[in-house]
Formats: sequence, C-alpha cells, structure tokens
Amino acid sequence: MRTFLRLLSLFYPLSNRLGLCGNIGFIAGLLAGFIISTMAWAFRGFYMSNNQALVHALSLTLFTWIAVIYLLGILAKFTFRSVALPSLFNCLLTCFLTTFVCKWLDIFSFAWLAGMFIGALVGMTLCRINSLIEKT
Amino acid sequence: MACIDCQPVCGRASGSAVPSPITQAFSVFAFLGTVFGIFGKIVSLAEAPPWLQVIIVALSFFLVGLGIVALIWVTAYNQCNEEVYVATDKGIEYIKGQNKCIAGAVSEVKSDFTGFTMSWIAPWTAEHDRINVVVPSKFWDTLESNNADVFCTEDEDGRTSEYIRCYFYTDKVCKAATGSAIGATIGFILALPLLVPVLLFGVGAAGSCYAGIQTAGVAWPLFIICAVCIAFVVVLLLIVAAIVLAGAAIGGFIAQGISEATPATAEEGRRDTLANIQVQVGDLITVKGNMLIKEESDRMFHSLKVNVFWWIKSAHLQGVVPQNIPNNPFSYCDINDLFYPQEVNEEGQTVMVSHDDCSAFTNLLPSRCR
Repeated sequence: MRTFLRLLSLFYPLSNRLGLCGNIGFIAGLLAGFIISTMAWAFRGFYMSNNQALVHALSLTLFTWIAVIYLLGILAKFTFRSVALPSLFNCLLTCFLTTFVCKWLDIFSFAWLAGMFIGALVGMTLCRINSLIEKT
Repeated sequence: MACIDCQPVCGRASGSAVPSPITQAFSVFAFLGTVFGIFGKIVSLAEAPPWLQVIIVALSFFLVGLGIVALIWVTAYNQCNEEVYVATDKGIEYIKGQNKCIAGAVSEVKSDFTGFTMSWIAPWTAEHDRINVVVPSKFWDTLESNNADVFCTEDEDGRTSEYIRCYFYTDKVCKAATGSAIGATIGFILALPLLVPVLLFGVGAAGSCYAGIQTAGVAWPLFIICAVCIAFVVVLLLIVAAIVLAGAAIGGFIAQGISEATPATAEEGRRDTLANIQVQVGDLITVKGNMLIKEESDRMFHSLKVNVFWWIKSAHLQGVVPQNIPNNPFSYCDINDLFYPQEVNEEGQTVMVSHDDCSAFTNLLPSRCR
C-alpha cells in the first residue's frame, strides 16, 4: 500500500495545479477517452461517422456525469443540486471535444491521453469563467 | 474586549498538505489510466495474439471498477494512519506531524457517520469525530505554522477569528473504511463475469462504428446497432461500478456492526474520544495531540491547506463561554478575555494570567505582529 501511495503522490502536484474543477474535468476526460481508446486498440481501422461520434459523445456524457456526481457528492460532500448542472456542462463539453478532436485528428488509440488534457483544460476554463462572473 | 492590533491570516497557502479525497481520486484514476493506456497501446502495436488482446481490452474496460477499489483502499489507509505521505517541491515526504497544544472555544461538534450517505451508502467516507475550536490570538502562530492556510470565522472587521479542526480518533470509522475496502474487492471479483457481455457489446459497437468508414453517407441500420451497443457498454460499466460500491457499502456496514459489538482497541484506548469528553458547543477546551496539514474544504469548490489535529491525544474542558458573549460566531476578542483575564497579584499590580493548559506564556500578539 505504501508503494502504491508513493506512486499516487507523483500526481499530487499536478492535481494541486489543476484545482478542483480541473481534477473533475480530468477524470471525466480520462473515462470518456478510455472507452474510445479500448475500442481502437482492439479493432484496427476503428472509425466513427459524424452521427456515430454524436452518439458516442452523448453516451459518454451520461456515463461520466454519473461518475462525477458520485465523486463530488460522496467524496467532496457537495449536494446534488449544487453540482448537477455545472458538472453536466463540464462533462458534456469534455466528452464532445474528446470524441470529435480524436475523430478529426484520427488519434483514437490516444483518446485517453487527449481526454485527460481536454478535460483538465475544460474544467479549469469553466472555473475561471465562473470566478470572473462571481467577481463582477 | 481584548481585541489586538493584528489581523488573522486567511489567505492561500503554498505549502504541501495531506491530499483531499478528490485529489486522491484524481491520482488513482491518473495512475491507472496512464498504466492501462500505455499498456493497451503497446499490446495493440505488438501484434499480440487476438485472445490476449481481447482479455487486455476487457480488463481495461474494468478501469472504473478497479479505480473505485483502489480509491477505497487508499481512503481506508488514510483514515486509519497517523503518518501520511505528502508531495512537496523537493519530492515525496513521509510526515507524522508535530505534538501541539491549543486552547479555545468549541464552535462546532460533528459526530462520525452523520447522515444517510455516510452510514448506508458510503461508510468509507465517514469522518472521525470532530470539533472546531476558535482560538485566542496567542495560538495564531500555531495555526499559521508550516506556511498553512487558516480557517476564519465570518465576522465583522476586527473580530474575525482563526479556528482549527480537531479530530478524535474513532475506531468505528477506521473499521468501516477497512470493511468497505474488503467488500469492494469482493464486489469487483463478483463483477468479473460481466466481462463477457462487455466484450460482446464492445465488439458490436466497434464493428458497426468501423463500418461507418465504408459508408460515407448515413447508414441508419449500422448507426442504430452502434448506438445500442455503446449504450449497453456504458450501462454495463455502470453496473460494474454499482456492484463494487454495493460491496463496499455492505462491507462497511458489517464492519460498523462488528466495531459496535467489540470493546475499544488499544489505539482508541490511549486517546480521549468525543464520547468520554462530552464536549458541546460553547465549551472552553485545551487540546493536545498530533498536528499536521490537511487539504480540507469549507464550502463549495473552496479547499484550503490547513493545520488540523489528527488526532487529539488529550482534551481538557475548562468551563463554558458565558451566555452574554456573542456566539454566532465566537470571536477571539472575547476568548482572549476568558482565557487571559487581568488579575491583581499579591503586590497590587494588574497582570495577565493564563488559564489555558498549554503554557504560562501570555503574549497575545502573534510573532508576525510584534
């Protein structure tokens, strides 16, 4: 367990830099990207049409949203009402961007990596916008 | 009122701290995602036999279940250990905290397993019994030590006060977390047979989506098959997560029951507990124990790296805040008066006397304001 904790702590500085919103976006992007990547690893020439990408993104949004709501509600002890909408918006943007960026760049087997970056970026941007709105 | 000419520090900290549960979740998923991601790519490049590819891809689909199991184990470890790992700019450090003493007025008492969620849905997230203590200005140095951030009360200017969270070790919390971790592991093993339908629908999804390349236009039959298969994969992943979490809930619940039926452990026996101190809001208290920096959240999307007592070794009640003193919130100005009143000594001089059990030293100004 101690060795595992040591390995985990390698990610703590990154987590601190991203903040809570970035962390949540990162997890959503990773989960969404991973499902796409596993399909690409198993089946060569994996491809999605625009319609199929749309379905992918919507299903992944639902899945990641449930996961994120659980994490925020159970771990961070936020109420469902307070986090439902912001996290849905976060997951929706993350999943759509991850799916379509991977499709346009044809990098399905690296979707997990793209998901991490896109999710973290989306989360941080949304939080930044939110704090700017709060200030004004 | 012994308010001082110095403001509490409530700004952001830059030091390292014991990570919050969300940071832990981030780290678990980042670690497993990176490992499986690299592994999956290598296997797909290495022309591995089809059966091996299928197994690895199927296992990768279980990242969610595996992530939850790992997360619960990490949480259980952190719930039951006084020594913790933190990440600093210099690398990874293994810290135990420092023995400290503070005094003040209890502003909040929070018992373990408060609410339906902690008791029934996720026993592994229960917190140890906790009290919040608003401290006299004499202890601001202690709360601000190690470059930590500080929780402050929301009061009018000049009366804003620093307070600290102090945790009592609670054996039931520790046992519930360990029980949940074992339950989650069993749940994960039980969910393994779901690999078969995950794969079947995964193949369907990938096959029909792949077929999209052949048909540049809209191929509705394939599109619908693709949609249904992806939806099933997602639903199956949710079922896996639900089985693992149900295992954790059942394990934690059983462990809670066992904990209530057995006498206190040696760990609990050598510390004061909330039950034997009988502390209430408004009590004046002196607390001694192990203090370290933890990342804690006080409101929505706002977490701070604050010093906390993890855990209290001994606590000593020293009276009650009089009813004529404003208590919503308490202010250090009044608490200074209660702990360090002016008294006339035998020589007829007016001197400040210390009534806390920490030290006789009575300079109320923190060192940064002297």
